[in-house]
Amino acid sequence: MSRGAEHRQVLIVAMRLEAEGVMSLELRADDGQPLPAWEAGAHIDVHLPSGTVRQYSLCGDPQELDCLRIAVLREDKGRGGSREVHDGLRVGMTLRIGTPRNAFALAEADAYQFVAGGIGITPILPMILAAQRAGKPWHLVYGGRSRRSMAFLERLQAHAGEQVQILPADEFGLLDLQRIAERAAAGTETYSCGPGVLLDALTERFEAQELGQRLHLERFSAAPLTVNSAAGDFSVVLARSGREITVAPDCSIMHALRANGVEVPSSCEQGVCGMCETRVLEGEVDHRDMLLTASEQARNNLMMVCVSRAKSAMLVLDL
Amino acid sequence: MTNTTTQRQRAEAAMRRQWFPVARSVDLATPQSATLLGERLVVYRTESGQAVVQQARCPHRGADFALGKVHGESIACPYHGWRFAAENGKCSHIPSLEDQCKIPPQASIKTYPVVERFAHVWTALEDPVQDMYDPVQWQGLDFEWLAAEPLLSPTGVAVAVENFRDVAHFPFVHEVSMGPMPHVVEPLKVSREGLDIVMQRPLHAGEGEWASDGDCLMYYHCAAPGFSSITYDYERLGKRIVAGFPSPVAYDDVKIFWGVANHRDFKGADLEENLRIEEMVYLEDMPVAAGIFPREIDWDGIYVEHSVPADLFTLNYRRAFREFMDRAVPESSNAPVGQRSPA
Repeated sequence: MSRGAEHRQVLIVAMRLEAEGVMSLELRADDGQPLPAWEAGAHIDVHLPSGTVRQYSLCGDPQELDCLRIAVLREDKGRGGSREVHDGLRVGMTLRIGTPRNAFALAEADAYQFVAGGIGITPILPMILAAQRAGKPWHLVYGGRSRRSMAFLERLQAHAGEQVQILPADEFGLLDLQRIAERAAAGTETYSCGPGVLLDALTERFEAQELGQRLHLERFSAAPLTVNSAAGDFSVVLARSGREITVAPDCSIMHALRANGVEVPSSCEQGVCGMCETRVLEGEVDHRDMLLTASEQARNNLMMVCVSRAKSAMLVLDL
Repeated sequence: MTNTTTQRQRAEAAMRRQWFPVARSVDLATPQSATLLGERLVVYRTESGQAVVQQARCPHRGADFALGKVHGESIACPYHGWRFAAENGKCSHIPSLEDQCKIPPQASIKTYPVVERFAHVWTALEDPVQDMYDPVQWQGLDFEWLAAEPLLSPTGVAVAVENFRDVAHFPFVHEVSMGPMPHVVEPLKVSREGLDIVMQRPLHAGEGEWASDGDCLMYYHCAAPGFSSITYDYERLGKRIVAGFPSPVAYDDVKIFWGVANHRDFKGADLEENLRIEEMVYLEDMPVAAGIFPREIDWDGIYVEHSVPADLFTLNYRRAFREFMDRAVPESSNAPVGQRSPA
């Protein structure tokens, strides 16, 4: 049904477990025609056999004209796309892919800093190649849960010295955002891809130091959530437990949480005091508090659950 | 992974990177002693008129420079007369030494940045996170300042700022100076941007000391951590200011430097009279402030505290204070770097 001319049939010629839960796929043309050209930061739509469509960053080399590479983290709590890639695909199967698109293009700069969190390394790999080829200085900060979970380490470790910092959280703790901001202040353009919390923290840090212009981000896009239904119910997903709680139109999120045995600290319960501030991971908040500034509300990364509600059908909270 | 730094420790470390007053400009005829977050300082004015803030302890035998004398562009120790340059703190003269080329080359005292503004001398212990306060609402206006006798209060900077701009306590603490006031606080119009919090509030003359001045608009402006001010804009008289600059002698012990200012065209009472009335108000606050416990805002959330809409300015100030901590003492992101796939 989709725009056929823009789609290509590709053959999976290799699959490789790059790290714990990370599968890479090597895709080649199935029809003898050259593959479309692309540049660092690009992604493609992948049509899985079930009909599910997912976007994945291209992580190979744009100069390899005969193949495209992607890498996919298995997410057991995800919506099923990554499970299908890991469990349902085999070498020799064909897939339909879309034309490469780029929402995270690498602009010309004197020096680059790359910050990757986990599977966010994928669009960064071709960026490193591009910086290298342009003869521009670059630096990579690569964080992840643990060494075992971080893909492409061997390849990256080939760049000796301080150019590449591999910083698994179980060995080094959290990334030093201040150091990253300092490098940006010293005149490097920063490109980052990774989990939302990392990108939010980076954004906050860069904005606080008026470096926002030097930060370029790629967020893993979730499928758009459907708009709130007329009935007014919405659901709240507690990210840490995976529980889902329905919030009725006449009930606050806070009361719904409490009714389900979830403790929420509070005081004023009218959107003033900030005690019930809760981090938002996904979904769009309908802010109704009086404490957050317009720009803090627009950031959509926290909310007062005593009064604020959802504009989307679902909110994922860091609870 | 575990972060053992408490928010209290962050707040204290952050304040080392902020401007605080350490003396009144008017007192610098002789060297003055000051303590900022436990650091003992000397504040003096050189012959050429430059205000200077340096460490108080002489690195020779530990005497206090505040008991010493200004000598041209240097300060001389009261004990053995060693002199240290105002400009960079280097030892410039040792009276007991025949050959002045033999001054111990490392002998020097720490010299801090200085700004003289609002009739006070301000300094910062470590690289300040921002320029000295320069409120927009006062720029381009010609105010004459009068610094008050500083007040000591056994509270932290944030508690002192919160007291300065709180309005719900007026009828309870300031009934004498302000007259009977309504208890219910109208919805406050508070706005916050970065470290600055602003609120406008009409003041109706009431029956207290100011009854004859007529109505005015009060423009509250605080900046985290330690700047608080009210600019009064009277329909009939023009503009005047009262401002409080609590300076942390220790984390939970402040010396409140404060003062009043009148715009050049202000037609109301003179500076001395405004100071007298404002001081009466301030002194009414002191006994209550002295009993506040804990003595500084509980950034780590150990004590139960409840809030209502009349606290909106306070709550915004606290957010601004946290923002200040983030700027001055960045904390790596609270959340671990996890992984999400492009699902």
